[in-house]
Amino acid sequence: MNALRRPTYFILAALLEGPLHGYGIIKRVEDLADGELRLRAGTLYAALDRLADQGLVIADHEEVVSGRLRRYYRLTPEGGATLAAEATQLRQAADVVLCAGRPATVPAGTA
Amino acid sequence: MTVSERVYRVALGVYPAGYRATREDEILATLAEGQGERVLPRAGELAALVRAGLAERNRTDLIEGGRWWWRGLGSLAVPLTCVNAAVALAGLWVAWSLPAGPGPWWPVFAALAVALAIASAARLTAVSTVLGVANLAMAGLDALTMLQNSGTSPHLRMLEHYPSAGEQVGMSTARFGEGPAFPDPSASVPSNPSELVPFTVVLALACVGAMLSRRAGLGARARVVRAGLTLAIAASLAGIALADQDGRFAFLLVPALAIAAFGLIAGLFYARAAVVAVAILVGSAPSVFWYLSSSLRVEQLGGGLTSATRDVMPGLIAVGCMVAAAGLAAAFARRTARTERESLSR
Repeated sequence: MNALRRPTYFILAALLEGPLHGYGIIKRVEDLADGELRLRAGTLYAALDRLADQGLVIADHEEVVSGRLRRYYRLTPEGGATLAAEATQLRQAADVVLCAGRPATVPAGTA
Repeated sequence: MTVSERVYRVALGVYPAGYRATREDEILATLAEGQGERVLPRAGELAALVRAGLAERNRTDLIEGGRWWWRGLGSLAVPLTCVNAAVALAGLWVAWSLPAGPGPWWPVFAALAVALAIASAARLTAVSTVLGVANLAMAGLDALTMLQNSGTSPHLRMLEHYPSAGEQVGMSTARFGEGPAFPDPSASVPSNPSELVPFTVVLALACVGAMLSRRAGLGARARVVRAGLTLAIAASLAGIALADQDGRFAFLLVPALAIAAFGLIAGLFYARAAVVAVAILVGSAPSVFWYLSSSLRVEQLGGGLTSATRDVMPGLIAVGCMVAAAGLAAAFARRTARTERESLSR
């Protein structure tokens, strides 16, 4: 499986705690990424479509709030497994740098 | 409905109709929540909608099967209807203005193209496509004629005032000063490129409007709107042609550049759009070459002699750029289609 792209990773992560609707996902992703990732609606729904096609996300239920349609999405078991596998890989990759025996240094005066 | 919602709804017109039927209300609700108290729509959201809409069209094309580039060629019908109408209207103007007329074809195209635009009948757009290709091919033949025997093409009357290259050397400056035998070659070229900006804007808006007028909800009015927009495009383009008194060529240049830019950008997300751009760029390259090569470079040789040579470099450079842009758009289209296919087959 290819590595997930950053927005995709955070969308899946946003759904870890339960179903969310479109704007809920956008806000949650923004919080998780410390405000550094703000999803546009067009980008979000394109990603949700792909994730649904891959069976990683599924529409859960719908609500009408103030006359507007809210469709909630949740992780499928496969989506949860994919996210966990990705997180493990990221941790391993991070450990290569952060938990090495000694910090990587550039030898001075190399020719 | 707020201003921003109206604008977002128009931008959502880029998505395929089937997608909008199931998703439009939900996406609008998400946009409305993110909008807060803000009145005007966010440019970033609009750009993301257009980009995702084009990508969704690409996806739908590939899911439906068939050859995507063949569908792209089918999509040529709408722009070619506009080109037909414009060329034809310009041709009519030239026919009325010049004693000999521009040849018998343009009034015929005019009648057909305008009729098709008004009818907007889907089945007849195939006829329009064939006529459009014929127009572009004839322009290409004209360009070849110019290369073989400069100045004898029946469609570029002004060039006939020029002596052939061999006769120009040895012409006296006194003769040069007489005027009519040797008119200002720059007269056919718009003196300031910015003059074409309003027409380009009108063209772009009209094209987008024509596309969006297909949206469900416009109902029976859609055909009238589309026909009106097509004629507006045609009138604009004919106006450019009329302004430079050449008949046909100035207007091909600016749309070609606009289409090149559109094809390159859209090709990143939508293979079919890139096919349209490639076809028009390649088809109009000979005409652009001819148009840009219609100016003469005049040099004083001394002793009262003047040399005038046809400067083909601008034409060659422009055509080179257009072919390069077409190649790039084609490459984008292939990559976009392949990436989407791989994603669908996973």
